[in-house]
Amino acid sequence: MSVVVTDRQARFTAFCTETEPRLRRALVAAYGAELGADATADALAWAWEHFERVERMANAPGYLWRVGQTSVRRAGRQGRWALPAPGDGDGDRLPVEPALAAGLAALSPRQRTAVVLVHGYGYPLAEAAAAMGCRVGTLRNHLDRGLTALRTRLGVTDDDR
Amino acid sequence: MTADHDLDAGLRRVAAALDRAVTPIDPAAVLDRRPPAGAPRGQALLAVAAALALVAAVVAALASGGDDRSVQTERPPVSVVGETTTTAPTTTAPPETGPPGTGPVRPASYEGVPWEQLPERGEAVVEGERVTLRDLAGTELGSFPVDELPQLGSVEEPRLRIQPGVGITVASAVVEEGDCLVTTADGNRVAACGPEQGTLALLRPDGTTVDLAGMAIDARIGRWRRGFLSPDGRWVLGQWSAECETPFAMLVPTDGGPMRTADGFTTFDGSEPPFPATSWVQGWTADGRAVVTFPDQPACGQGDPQPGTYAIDPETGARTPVDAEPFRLIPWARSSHENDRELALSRATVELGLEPCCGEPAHGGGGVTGGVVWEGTEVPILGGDVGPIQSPLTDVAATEVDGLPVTTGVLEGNAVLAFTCGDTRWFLGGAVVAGAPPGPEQLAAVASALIPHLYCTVGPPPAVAG
Repeated sequence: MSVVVTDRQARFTAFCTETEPRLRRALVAAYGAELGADATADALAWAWEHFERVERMANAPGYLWRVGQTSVRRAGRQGRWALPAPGDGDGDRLPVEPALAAGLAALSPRQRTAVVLVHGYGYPLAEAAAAMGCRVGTLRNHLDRGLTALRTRLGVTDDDR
Repeated sequence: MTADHDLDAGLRRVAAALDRAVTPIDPAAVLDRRPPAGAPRGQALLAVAAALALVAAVVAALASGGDDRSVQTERPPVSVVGETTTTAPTTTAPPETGPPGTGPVRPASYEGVPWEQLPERGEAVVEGERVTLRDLAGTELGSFPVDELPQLGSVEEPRLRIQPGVGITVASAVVEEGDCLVTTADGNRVAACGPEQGTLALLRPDGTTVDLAGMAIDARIGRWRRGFLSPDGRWVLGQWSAECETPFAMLVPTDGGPMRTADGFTTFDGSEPPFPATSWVQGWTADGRAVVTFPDQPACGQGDPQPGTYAIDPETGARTPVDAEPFRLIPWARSSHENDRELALSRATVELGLEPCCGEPAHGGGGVTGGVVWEGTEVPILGGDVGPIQSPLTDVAATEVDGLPVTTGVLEGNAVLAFTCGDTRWFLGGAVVAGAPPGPEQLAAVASALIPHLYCTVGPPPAVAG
């Protein structure tokens, strides 16, 4: 049996390949591994359903970030954020300091997402802002507040000051 | 942890742990998960949109009395004779907070999808202190503090017009006599229209119409004020305003089945209590429950035994109080500037702090039909291609405003002032929109105020054909 791949499917696959990592990372940073992954799947499914419209969007990832947020709210499953437990292959990796995980959990989802995208994944501010569907200035606010809260909680001094 | 580099290193480990915990989503799995929405619907929507645009254009033409005031180019302005040449801002920069009144306002703290990228329509939820813009599927797109749009508090049943680069205008959503208000959800449209708003109809994307108001309520005195389609498209929450303006929130199935009041009455014919209670439409929750307010002591009509705001399951009628979060649903529409002239006039109106009036969208054309309220008088303003004025003006004179060349005249008893600025011929006055027509002094004052904010070069005064 031959499989026919339509042009629409091909375009969507290319879109997914480019968009999925940032979207997933943003939603997982905001809502945790399980909810974030579900929200990413929901958002991408929505994108497939409305792909003609999504293709024309100037910032489709930002829009899908909001679709994912709405999916989480609708599911009513939003709970306390937690870092996933180490997996089988994580034995020889440096563990995440528990206080850092707790500090991240105490941040608002948007502060946490900004901090993880920029300082964890190393995304440029503009790219992280696009992933969160906001302006760079807004992202910077979330970032500053999130980092300040983390530094205070962890007793971190700022090297650059 | 003592230094920032430790924090950064810790955050990189967090990122790595999150990446390891979640498997990337395979596009093929997404393709299997949900079939695409019917693509052909777009063509049907285009057809509906085109039909609506045509109707609106006809209405606009009728409203203008059928005058042919379009301008045709006789010769381009080859030389600049004016003294005002200003440059438009590189980015549209209206005031962060707009003028009081009904003019556009740009909420300074708006956060979300840029206005240019919003869908054409959606619904805004006012909950507590924030206004959240949603698309018609319930996706939250952006929000801002409600106090940054103070006009919301002064309009009882508002709707929002979002103009990218300009601001948000609050207008009444109440259907006026002879008007036809349409709200949409994913291609379907709900229209409260017909003689005296006696008809509530569902307009489907394929062009078919379902009359939703074919039951006993039609026998009552009153009219449909507005209607909201449920997220799943199976219900309309309609606001019926009966005699003594007694309002009833009605749950109307879109399959044409019998409607009922929000408190479950299927008839108004009962002679013994209980009677249907006065109720106000608020909107739909994202999970498909109708939000309705039963006032404590209605001015007319019957009060509910348990007043308050409830989310009501349209299938079962089960009520859940939502009084912890006062809730209001407001339809919004993004109004894109179809051409540079529309943008120029809108921007000038905002920058001058004036209230816009008299406008009609360009409907794909290259001109602008708008106006401003100047000292209480509505001043219609048309912008079109450079060229001679086709309308039969009398008392034509070439004169000046602030040293800039303009043409003045009289059209059917009403003062007219026209000038060329850049590639546009602006035409002020000439028609009575509401109240007294603007006089020549008012037109000159409007032109004087307007020209510096149109960011153009004033050219030769327009000639009059014939």
